[in-house]
Amino acid sequence: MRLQLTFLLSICFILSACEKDNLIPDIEGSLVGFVYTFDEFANRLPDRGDVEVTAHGLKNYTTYTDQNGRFEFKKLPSGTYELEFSKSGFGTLKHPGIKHLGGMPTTLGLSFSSALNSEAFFLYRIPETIITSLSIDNNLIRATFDFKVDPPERMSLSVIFSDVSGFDRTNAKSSLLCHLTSVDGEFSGNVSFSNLGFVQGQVIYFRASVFNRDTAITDFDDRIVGGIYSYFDYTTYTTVYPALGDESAQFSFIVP
Amino acid sequence: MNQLSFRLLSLNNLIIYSLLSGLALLSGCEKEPVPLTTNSIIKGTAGLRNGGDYSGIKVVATGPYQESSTLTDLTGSFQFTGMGNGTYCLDYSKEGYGTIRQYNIQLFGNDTALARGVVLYELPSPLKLPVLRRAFIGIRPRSYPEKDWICFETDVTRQNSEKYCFWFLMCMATDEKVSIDHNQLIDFSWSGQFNDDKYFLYIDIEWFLYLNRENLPFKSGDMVYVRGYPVNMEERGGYLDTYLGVKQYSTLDRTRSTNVISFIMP
Repeated sequence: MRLQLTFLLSICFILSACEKDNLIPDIEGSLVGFVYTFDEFANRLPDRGDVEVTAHGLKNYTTYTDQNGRFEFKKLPSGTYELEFSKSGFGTLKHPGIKHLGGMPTTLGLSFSSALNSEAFFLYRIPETIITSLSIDNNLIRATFDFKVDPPERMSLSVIFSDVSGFDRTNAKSSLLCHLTSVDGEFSGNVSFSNLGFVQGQVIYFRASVFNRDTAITDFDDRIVGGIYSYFDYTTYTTVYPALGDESAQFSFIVP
Repeated sequence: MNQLSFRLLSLNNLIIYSLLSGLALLSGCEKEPVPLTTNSIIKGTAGLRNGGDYSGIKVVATGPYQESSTLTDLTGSFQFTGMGNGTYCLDYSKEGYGTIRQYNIQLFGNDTALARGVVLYELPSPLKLPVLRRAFIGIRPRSYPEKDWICFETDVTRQNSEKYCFWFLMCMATDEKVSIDHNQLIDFSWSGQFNDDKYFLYIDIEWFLYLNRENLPFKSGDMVYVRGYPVNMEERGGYLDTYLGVKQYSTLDRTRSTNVISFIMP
């Protein structure tokens, strides 16, 4: 009697084991991508290794890039992930909405076709250069810098404007990107006020941050690799530029 | 009493055995995932570099479940239907041609995924490879405007030239262990001609320097070692392996190579 019961139980157990077959399993698979690193002047760095990559999903997974900037999560369960890229001295980049279905590898970024642009993750060093002075005079912006390394020939600045003194990036009225070139160590560039929404004669305050960016590079000979270097933060509804330089002091000008 | 203990023992054994077999079956079942959806389609086209008949190219789709295989029609089109959810890769092959792997075909639910068009190139000829006799920088005869080329003298003559394969991928490095896995630069742009009775291979040094202007790994005066591997030269540029992040040449024959020869970087 007891023996029969055990038999029944064990058969039930075996059956229940195979019933798992009907459940939907997590399909695992590799997730692969590529990171390029740049200095604060947007020059490519040869060392693309040791970038910590975290995949945030139902659980978190961490891996590191190799010297070629390649990272791979092996046996990552299917799901939607947010990737986070961090390295000491570099701005932390995030990229949400990575769909990983599992099975054969999900390959991010690089495109199979030679004609098509492809996207990789661009990680920039946090600028050490300090903006020491800024001036705007008749559509010409001038800047002086305190460089910690050899000065480049070009600098790009993200400039923010307000008609209220004491503002910052979160409550600026407008912003623009300007490109400055060096002539005998003096950096200057053109700036247009037509779209900023200010009127002639108004006193405008402004600040700037170092913002050197390359949006695409040539790699694999003739192939263009586009770069993801900013992200949209859905909690604050703002676009985040992870390696934007510190904001300069506030300067002012009168709209010409 | 003895009988009873024996029965208990066998009962325990039986329980343990059935537990173990249940576990074994459980792990066995986990290895074969069942698709959540099975109504996706993969469509695509594949072609051959030479010729209008693109039929008979084998396409294998590998995914989380069992492999599927199909052949292209006359126009090179192929289609997989009833595919389960997951990420697939496609392998393209045909007798006498190089093989190409395409990654990242993602399917879920009612998806129709379009695979990017692929072109297969003929494999390089199986004929023997020339011996590279010497390499030097010099003027190429009967070529205008007159300028410097990287010249490679071979052992091939007009009488035996049809017995040789001249399609090369040239690997270069500053040490003589240069190979396809150990090199600093790969060049692809080759041309050749007979000078008197000897066959020479050439690289346009001006073009070579221009193409590598951003990161030429050699300095002027460096001894550069070269080794050639058979490849279809029409496959210029190769294709990108998006999994490894490296350029691949579908027709490259890694098993055969020329001797190593060196020249001094001008």
